[in-house]
Amino acid sequence: MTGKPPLLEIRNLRKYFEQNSNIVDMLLRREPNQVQAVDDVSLTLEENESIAVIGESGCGKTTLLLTLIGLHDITDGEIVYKGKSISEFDKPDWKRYRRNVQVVFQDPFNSLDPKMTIEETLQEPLKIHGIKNREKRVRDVLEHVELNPPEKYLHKKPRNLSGGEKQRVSIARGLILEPDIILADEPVSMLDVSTQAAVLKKMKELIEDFGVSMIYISHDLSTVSYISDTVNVMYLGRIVETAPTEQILADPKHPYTEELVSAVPIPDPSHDRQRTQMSGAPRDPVNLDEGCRFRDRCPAVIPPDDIEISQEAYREIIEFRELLQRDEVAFERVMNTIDKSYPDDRKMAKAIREDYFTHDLTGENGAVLNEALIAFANEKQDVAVKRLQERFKSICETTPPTVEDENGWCVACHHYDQNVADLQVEQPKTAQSD
Amino acid sequence: MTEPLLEAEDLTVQYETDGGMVTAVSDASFVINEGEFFGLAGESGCGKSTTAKSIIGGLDPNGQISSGTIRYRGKEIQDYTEKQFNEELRWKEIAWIPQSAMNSLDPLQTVSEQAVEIGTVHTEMSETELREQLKEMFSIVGLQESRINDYPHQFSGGMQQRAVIALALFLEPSLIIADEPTTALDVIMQDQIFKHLDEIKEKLNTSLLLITHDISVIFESCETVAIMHASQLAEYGSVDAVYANPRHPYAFMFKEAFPDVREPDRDLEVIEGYPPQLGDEIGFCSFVDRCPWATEECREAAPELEPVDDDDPRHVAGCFRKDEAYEMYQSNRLSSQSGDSTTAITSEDD
Amino acid sequence: MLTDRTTSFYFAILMFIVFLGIFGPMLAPYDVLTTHYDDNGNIMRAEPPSLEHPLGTTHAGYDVLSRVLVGAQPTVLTGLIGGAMILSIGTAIGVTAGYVGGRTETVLMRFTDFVYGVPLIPFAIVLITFMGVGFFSSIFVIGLILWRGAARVIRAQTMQVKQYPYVKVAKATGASTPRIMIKHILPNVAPMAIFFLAMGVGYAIVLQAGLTFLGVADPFVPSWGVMIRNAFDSGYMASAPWWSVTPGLLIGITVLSTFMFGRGYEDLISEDGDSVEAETVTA
Repeated sequence: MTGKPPLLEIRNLRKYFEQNSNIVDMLLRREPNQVQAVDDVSLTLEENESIAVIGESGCGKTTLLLTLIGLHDITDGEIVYKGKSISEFDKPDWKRYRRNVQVVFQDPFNSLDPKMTIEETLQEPLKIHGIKNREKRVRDVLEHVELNPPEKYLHKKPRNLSGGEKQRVSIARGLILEPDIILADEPVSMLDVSTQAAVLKKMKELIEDFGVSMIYISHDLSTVSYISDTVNVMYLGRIVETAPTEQILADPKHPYTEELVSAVPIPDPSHDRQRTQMSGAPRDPVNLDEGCRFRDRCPAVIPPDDIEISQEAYREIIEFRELLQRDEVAFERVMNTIDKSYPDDRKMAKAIREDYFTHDLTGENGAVLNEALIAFANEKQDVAVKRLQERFKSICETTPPTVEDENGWCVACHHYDQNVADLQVEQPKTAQSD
Repeated sequence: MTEPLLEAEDLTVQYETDGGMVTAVSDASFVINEGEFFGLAGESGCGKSTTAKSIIGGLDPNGQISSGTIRYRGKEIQDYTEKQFNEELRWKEIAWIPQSAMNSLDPLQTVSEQAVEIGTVHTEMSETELREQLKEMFSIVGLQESRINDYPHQFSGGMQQRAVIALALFLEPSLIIADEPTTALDVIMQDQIFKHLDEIKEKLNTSLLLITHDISVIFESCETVAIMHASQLAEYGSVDAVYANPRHPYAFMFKEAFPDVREPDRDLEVIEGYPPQLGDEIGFCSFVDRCPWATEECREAAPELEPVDDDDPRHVAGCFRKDEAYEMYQSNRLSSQSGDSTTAITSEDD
Repeated sequence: MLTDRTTSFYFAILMFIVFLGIFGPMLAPYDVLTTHYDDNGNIMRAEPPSLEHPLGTTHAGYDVLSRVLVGAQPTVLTGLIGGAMILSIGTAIGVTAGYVGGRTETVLMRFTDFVYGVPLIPFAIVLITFMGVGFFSSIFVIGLILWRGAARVIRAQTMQVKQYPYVKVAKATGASTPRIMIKHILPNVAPMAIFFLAMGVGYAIVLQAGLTFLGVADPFVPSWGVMIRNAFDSGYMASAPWWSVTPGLLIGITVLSTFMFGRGYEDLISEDGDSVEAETVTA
């Protein structure tokens, strides 16, 4: 690397929220719940680069963006702009930062002040930063985003524009200060496809022609692939994989990325794609423990070395144990299915096993599970958890280290844990049964 | 061939507004067979939702079927009353999956209570039978059978969506109408839902009318596609035929406007302009103002759907220049992006 | 803006009342404090309407029409000042609390809650014993209390507007808090504020009449409220209805039309008022 620092660097950024606690919690002095919206995220944005952050809704990508533009305080970590951390910013630094980092939001219908004309909207940033020659700049920027002729739009209010036109105005507003960085939050997801393509094209052009760098946030890999060079995949507040876009599409490494890539519909009837193997949805990012965030849905959780067990059966056990730990096993419901007149722990254990487990466990595995279930039936929850932990503890319950290779490809998964040299050896795909 | 399940013929639907009559669907004809997944695509406001609503008698009060017929198993239903729809069709023959699952479940009743209520209105089945049916459907959509007695808030968002699907399906309708069922969802969730729909089709031979703006979902999940532009059916046929041999300019431009992860560098098609608002009479092609190949002829009459000369006998397109336009488009496209795009195309197979 | 017929109708009435407020005294046929006598030299006590006195006379032989015309001025003033106070205090507190949030919000809203707890009439009586009975002090009392409803609603609206991306964008671009409040929040809560202005005008007139009625406002300024009070005090309320009915009706009409105009105006500016829609379709 040369001596010049990257344009924007995010180092181990955390943004936690405290969930509103109610009065009972306060009286009992319970710890408020921690929402771990962004958890230990590191990113680097170089000049004239476009990177994407993708993930499902609720993965923390929007919080990341709001933190980057300074609308949320940082819980921990650093955002470094041109070599200076924003925690050390003085007033002029902030002014400069706010001028050079602009944002385009998802919803074109609420991104523009309905009471302002397009001209007023576009002049606002210039006025805030005391920039002269405003009228010309407004016209120029409107031409750049292909709202021609500008006169036709200047005096219109947002409600008189179509969705695509509104989004172009939003982009124009993002550009008018000639920023270094544009942060875009799903800017095309609410547009019709005919317009979507045009807006995407425009953004791509801007990156290329104007030397703007962009962080593009989205859940849609297909638009991301069109606009970004590098993709960061985010899951429950953490980046699980970072790689050049083409690489991530062609050869995703992290099991989650793999699922994400394989779930993208392909507009081609002759293309035969397998439906996702994943079930359920990400859990709430509340009071998460250590360990891989994806392990509860991962099709390739790593069982302990010394036991023999199929992936499906193993996942059931892990899922069940986590329910147990969170006190979410529907004991009552299961008990309603059996004859309650003779409370018998074996019967109860059997009922729970039938309700929660579809795979047969034999030998030692089955015995341990049974022991745990009987303990649970006797309301000894901690014993049950402990018993399951002893035998079935996965390495995935410890935080996976981020492994990086020389091409800038990073993944945070225990499958790639040993060292970079034998990265290619252990593909999680092999762990999948089908 | 057996009798088609649903048949629309020259269907025209209009809304009465302050500004006069507005035509939402104009002379649309299509057929949905048993066990067929039929996708209806188009931009917002093209009339696709109106088409779906008119089939199940769900038009807004100011809307009406002005002309044409809809036949369900050979029986004309376009003039059915609310009562007839309820007694004969809704739920047990034709079910509806709404876009927003969260709002379509009653938060104060368990899912099974809601199912029993629907079931007793629309069928003769007993409560126990209804519960059994719901259980079965729960397992098909991947929910635990025992959870039929849960309240909606006990399900997560994705599970609620599946519960709604189970509810729509538990009377084993022959046709499901789904209006943008996955638009608000992430790709993985979307894929999960379609996985379940695939299973349902396999097990029950159910037909699906899928309304969506996302043509990639249709190409993947449906056998037949109809593309609509501003009230008129532009093109319709098997997904393979429409994909390989699109004829209507809107159809092929629409198709090319979608990004494809396999070709991140491909130039995306842009369709200029917006669909027009249409008045009472439409004596022209509604795509004329946005079409690069339009001629005077296109303004003088509405094009009829005519067969396209390929392997699919159902493949039709409503364009006066259907045989020339695509060729011109193709040659133009090839010449404008010679060289670099070829690499992307060859590397697409996996 | 005034394309809506109902709204323009009420606007016309309002304009007429403002006109009365300005030119009423000039139009009055007689002095308001002149006692009129009949041909026999008797005071015309509570005479019914006649050609000479189209709205009759009071028990002191004053001309009712003249009093109504002259009384328009204080009434309009009451409405304007009272309404303006309610609007400005309510909006300032509501927008500041809603946008700034945090401790500022807590303090402002607790204060608003406190004012909510103050009963208007007793408060007015107490305050006026300090400020002295007077026309303007009665208006101030009204203004100082009645902003509370406006503040609460406008705060809620502000919190809603604050969530919109355009406010976030403005913040991210470096707009200062006052700038965002003035440029983005105020224009967007304006419809609600205007509605409260209309309500405030109406309330102020009615309440001031009420206060006059109780004797805590200046009885010598012959506002419409004062006229009703005089009629009541004299004991002629029932036997000489012409004396109190006209000012009563006028107060009612003023309040109603301000109210209706405010509502109509709110509807007009919150929906697509401009006639540019046709243009966009082809755009």
